[in-house]
Amino acid sequence: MKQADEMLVDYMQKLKGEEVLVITRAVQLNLLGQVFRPIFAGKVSDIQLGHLTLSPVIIKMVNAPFYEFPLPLSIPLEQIVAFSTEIPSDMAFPLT
Amino acid sequence: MQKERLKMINERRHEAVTKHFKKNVNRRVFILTQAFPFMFIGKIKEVIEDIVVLDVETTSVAELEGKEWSVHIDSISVFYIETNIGPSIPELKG
Amino acid sequence: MKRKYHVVAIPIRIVVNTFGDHNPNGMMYVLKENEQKVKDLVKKNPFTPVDLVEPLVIRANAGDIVEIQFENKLPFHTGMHFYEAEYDVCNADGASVGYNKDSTVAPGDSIIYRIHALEEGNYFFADLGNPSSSKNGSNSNGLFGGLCVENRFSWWTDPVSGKPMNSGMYADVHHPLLPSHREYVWMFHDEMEINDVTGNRPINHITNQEEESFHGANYRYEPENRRAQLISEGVVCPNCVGEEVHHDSWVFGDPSAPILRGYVGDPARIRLFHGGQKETHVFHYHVHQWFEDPQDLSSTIVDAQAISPQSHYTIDPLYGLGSLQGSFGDIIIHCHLYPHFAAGMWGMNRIFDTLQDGSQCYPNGVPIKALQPLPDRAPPPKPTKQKPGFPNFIPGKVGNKAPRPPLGIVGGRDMTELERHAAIEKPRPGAVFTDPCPEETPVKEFNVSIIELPIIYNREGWHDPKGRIYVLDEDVEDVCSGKKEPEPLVIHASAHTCIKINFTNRLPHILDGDAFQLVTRTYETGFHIHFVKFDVLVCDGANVGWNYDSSVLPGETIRYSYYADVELKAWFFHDHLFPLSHQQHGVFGSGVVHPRFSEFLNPATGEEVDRGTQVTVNHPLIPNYRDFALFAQDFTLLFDKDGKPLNPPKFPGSQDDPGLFGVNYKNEPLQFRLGKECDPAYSFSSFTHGDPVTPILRAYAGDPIRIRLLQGAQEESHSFNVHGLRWLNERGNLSSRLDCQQHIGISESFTFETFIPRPGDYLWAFETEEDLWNGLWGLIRAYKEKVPDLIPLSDRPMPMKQSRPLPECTGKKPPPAKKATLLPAKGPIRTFDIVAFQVPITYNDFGDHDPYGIIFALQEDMEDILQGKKKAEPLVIRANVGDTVDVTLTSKLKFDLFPFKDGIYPYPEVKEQAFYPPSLRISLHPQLVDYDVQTSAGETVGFNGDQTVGPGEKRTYRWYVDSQLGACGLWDMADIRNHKSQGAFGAFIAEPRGTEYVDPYTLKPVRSGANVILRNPLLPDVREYVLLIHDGVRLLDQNDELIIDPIDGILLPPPDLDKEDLVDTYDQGSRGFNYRCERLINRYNKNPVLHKLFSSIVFGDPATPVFEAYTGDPVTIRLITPAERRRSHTFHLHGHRWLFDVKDMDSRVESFVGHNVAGGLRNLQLLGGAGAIGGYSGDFMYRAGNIRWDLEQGMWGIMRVHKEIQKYLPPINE
Repeated sequence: MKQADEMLVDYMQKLKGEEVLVITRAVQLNLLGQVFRPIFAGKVSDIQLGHLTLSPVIIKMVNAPFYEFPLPLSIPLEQIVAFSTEIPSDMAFPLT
Repeated sequence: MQKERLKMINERRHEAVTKHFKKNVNRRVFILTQAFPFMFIGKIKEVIEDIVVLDVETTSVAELEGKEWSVHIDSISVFYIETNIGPSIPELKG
Repeated sequence: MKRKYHVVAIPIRIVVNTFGDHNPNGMMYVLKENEQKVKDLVKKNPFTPVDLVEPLVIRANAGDIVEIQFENKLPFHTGMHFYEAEYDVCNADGASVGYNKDSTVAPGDSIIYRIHALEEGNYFFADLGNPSSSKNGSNSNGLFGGLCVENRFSWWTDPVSGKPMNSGMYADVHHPLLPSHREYVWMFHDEMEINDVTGNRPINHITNQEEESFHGANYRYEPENRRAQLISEGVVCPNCVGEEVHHDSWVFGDPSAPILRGYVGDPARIRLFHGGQKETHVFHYHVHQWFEDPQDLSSTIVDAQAISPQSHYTIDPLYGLGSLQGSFGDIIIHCHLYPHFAAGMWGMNRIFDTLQDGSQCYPNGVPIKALQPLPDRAPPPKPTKQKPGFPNFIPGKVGNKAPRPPLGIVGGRDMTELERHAAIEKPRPGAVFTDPCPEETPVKEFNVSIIELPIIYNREGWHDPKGRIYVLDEDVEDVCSGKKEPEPLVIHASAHTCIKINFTNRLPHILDGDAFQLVTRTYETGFHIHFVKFDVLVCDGANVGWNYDSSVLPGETIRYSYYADVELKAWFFHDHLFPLSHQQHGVFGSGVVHPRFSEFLNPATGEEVDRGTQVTVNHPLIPNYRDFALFAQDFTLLFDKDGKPLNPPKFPGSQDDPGLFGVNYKNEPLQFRLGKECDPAYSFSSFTHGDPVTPILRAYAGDPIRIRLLQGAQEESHSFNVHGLRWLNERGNLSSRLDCQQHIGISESFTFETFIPRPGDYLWAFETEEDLWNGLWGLIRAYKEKVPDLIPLSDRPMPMKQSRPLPECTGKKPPPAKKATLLPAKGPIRTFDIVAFQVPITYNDFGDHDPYGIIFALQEDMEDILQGKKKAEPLVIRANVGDTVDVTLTSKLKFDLFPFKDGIYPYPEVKEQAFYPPSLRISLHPQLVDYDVQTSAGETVGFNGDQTVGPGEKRTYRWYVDSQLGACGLWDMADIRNHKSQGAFGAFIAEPRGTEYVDPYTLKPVRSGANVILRNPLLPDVREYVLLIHDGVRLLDQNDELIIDPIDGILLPPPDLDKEDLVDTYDQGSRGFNYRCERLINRYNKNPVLHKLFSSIVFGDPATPVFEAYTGDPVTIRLITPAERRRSHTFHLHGHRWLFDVKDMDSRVESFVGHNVAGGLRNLQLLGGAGAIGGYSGDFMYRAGNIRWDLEQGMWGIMRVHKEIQKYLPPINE
């Protein structure tokens, strides 16, 4: 029997190349004074046992909800609160 | 039993991230944390248990730069490790 | 879901009270289904208020599309413009702006507005088809309303019938998951035309002059004048005066003003709107407190909240109706500005303790309307003979003043049988029907008296011969004999204290008459408190509705009891019986509730104390701190040393802005600080003129401090600024932005927690021109070394022994400040060579201009500006976090280029005009950035050296950008009369680290400018628009005639316009954005079509900045109000919203910025970028929310959002 975490990784391997919206634990993050909720939309480019990587990745900022971050971002799985593959990255929704 | 297994899963995931950082010693990393000072850019020097030791080039506060910082890996919200393949982390000036 | 309403704009007679006062030319929005009904009812009741005549309130749920079929039955174009909503600006703006399609509606026509209600909130709507502020406009006559957007899945019912409802100000709102709650809309509005039953303007029955303007809520008001008239005519309440029974239902029955009804403990929400056009009001709601930001549990708790025109807030009272202690009875809601309160701007929250099914009556026989219990709460008990419930157990006599409370008055009465049944198990003085203090709470008792004595305000002998103040009994003798200086009473206690007050009325029965006031029998007085928990029936220190009159007669003592449950900021106390008559004489004070286990010391002696405006606080766990309380005052009725009244009104008893200003019963007018040199540049210098008599808050460098900011009197907004210090806007929220300024209205209270980084003198000031001119400023003095009369904080390093004598007043010019560049620089250094010079400024294409403008500019731009190659704009410079900024300032001011060399600036004027010749020195003071006040504050203050520059001189200031501050104002502090309103201001913007700034059209790097693109390797490219709001400008028209704004800018002025009395001094002057204003009157004179005045199709673009973007471009607006007058402005951008606090994701979302006044700062990141989340394009108007007198006077401009690429405007990330 596979370990449960591997099951998840297996499941997520299927998401590779797919678009996914990921929300993590932090109340807010602060990038040089710009604050935003940790809501990331992007293509899964890599899945590892402990983290996944989105590239390219959109950080959903209130003033720039489609801001493509210049770097890929890796997110520790333990930080993830929720994710969905059914939110297209070009969808507009309230962020506050 | 179920609880214990889940706990194990959590631990294994933490461990995996730690290993990933270990694998990338000497590379540059970009880190965001919810806690102050919110952002670290620097080189991974070493990983001690679940702490990553960084030579920090940039944070959101200039005074805290050019120093060694140890960051608890569990508190990293997102990160990016620069490799030869992907884009490089910008050098922030000014 | 989609929700549809059919709304009609109709003319309607609005009767505002049972005295028949009415607006014959009223206008309202009404649902089509009620149109005929309301018309018929009004026809039948020409002199009685009709319930259906109320501001239209409709409802929807978050996420709904609201489709409004709007029909116009008024004789001019009208529309509905919605705040907070998203919509297609070309079709649903309710206006005709720029190159958009006109979405106003011609008489007889109709249109469909489709708006998206994205989030829960208060969506104000009003007309923009007729922007006249006069009685010929639409807004002043009532054409506004509210769309209440509820949480998703809500529904609402009528509180009386329990049936579904389509419109109405009061509703019970229900939800499958959330508690049901009472929803009350409270719509302040002002300046409506009112006639009495004879069709004439109402007359004040005492002064025989025209009454104050209309100040009311929900198309109603209940003026003191009207009620007092009934007394003087002998109809009711023999021996009453008027003000003390203004709110007394025993005397008059219930008012026509709003009564918000509920049961004790009901969850409630007040949706507060300002539908008026001019004044900034202060909403105060007795007994209750609420989060300033209901969605943010770490936001500040308030119980009084300033609100400026066309802004809105949500008030969710903590613990529901009756608060934590479960108090019931009549709880007054009012505008705390006393002239407005007296004019009739009040109502009540009536909290019942028994079920009302429609079968009961009030004591005067008027039936009590049924009130459905909320379905998810147990209904209150039914009234019984023994327990009839409020108000029927109170032993009052209809037609007479309310009875005094049982037990409270020393030597007074016990309870009646009915009162005993209604009382709690162990009633005690001050807590009869509910006891706020839990058992075993530590008790702190204060013996407080109110006394009358003369108070001298300054060294020139300006004085109030009839000062009235609160004082502890043990200090009465010392204060009266002159041993102790009178100061506002500030008492101190720790959290979790049961406070008992024994309050004695030692006032004379009579407040004597003089040039300011008529003789008034102020025979009773109370002690009304904010913030703490108490039994409203017996302890309100007021006389409200069917409650008791909890005040006392001269010579009597009453016992009050409150509970300070948690650490509170400074709670305000004052009289509630005759405040209009005497609060401005000094009847106010504060209690400060400190953290538990605090100890309060006299800062000079170290002795333990329990009162004082300055105390030192010791605490076993948290850092010790210095605590300072400052009270702003206006309507201060002063005489000079020869007994001449200062700024008396036209007739005694007038509320038309009489008297001057004070702070803690002191002032330090600048006219007396010219000295031999006659140079305003040294007015704040203690070397030249000695220390001011106003408070000097004393500390050692490094000490933590808490400033308690309050306003004790009486009608106006003030703007508190501290130079060189800053604090978190929300004290309990570390994600909150930093601030160094605070707008304040009477009864508001703020705590600023900070520390003093370096030794020196820090200026605090109420920094609008007229306040500062008349002396509302002082110092925070931080010593470097030990001084004899200031104890060090015990947990801080002992200050060094004094090594040199303290500086003293020399009567001469201050010595120059040390070189700022001697201090080490941190990070990269950015240098700016800035020159200050005079140049004419053209404000618009109609030739309105200021020939004597004074501006700051980069040295490299000066020649081009002087030669007209470059237009004069306020200087906007930028640096990044981590940078050191070296600003070198040069003065090129020339005496000959000043307009009023004789030293009297004639218009706009200030109260107590006096000789104050123009200074040739100038300085540049920055907000928020970090600097050494002794070298780089850009001002010459206290015993700091001179930091101003004279003609041909240079001085370098060194500032450090230590935090993500965003917008910071810059301005001159050398001559506040002759420089600033003339243009001597600018902006400094602190940008994120690593940011570059490029011109939006050329994409070339720039060093200054209001419109740039910010580029940062880690952040989105952002369009940054810097808007500087300013007023008090002296403009000439194209024929070089003086423009007497705001009067000259009024559209459709009625022939009987009283030009002389219409405006207060602080309304005088023109106003605009960034040295530009697009006065509507100019456009109207060219093409008199009211609803097209904002149209670029007709007039071309306005002179004010037109900011351009593409749909979706990230946009940050930096909003700065560097200058200058006390009337506060609301800012609104159509179709867009932003976070109230740019640093806090949990903060509320708004489409306006309220009360912008000198020193105000905000950073607005538009949600969804340009065109908002919906991605709309078109011309979005930014503008003032003050229909009177900002919009007409040109405070508007356009943000143009393109869908398609324009050749001249490269895409943001090209």
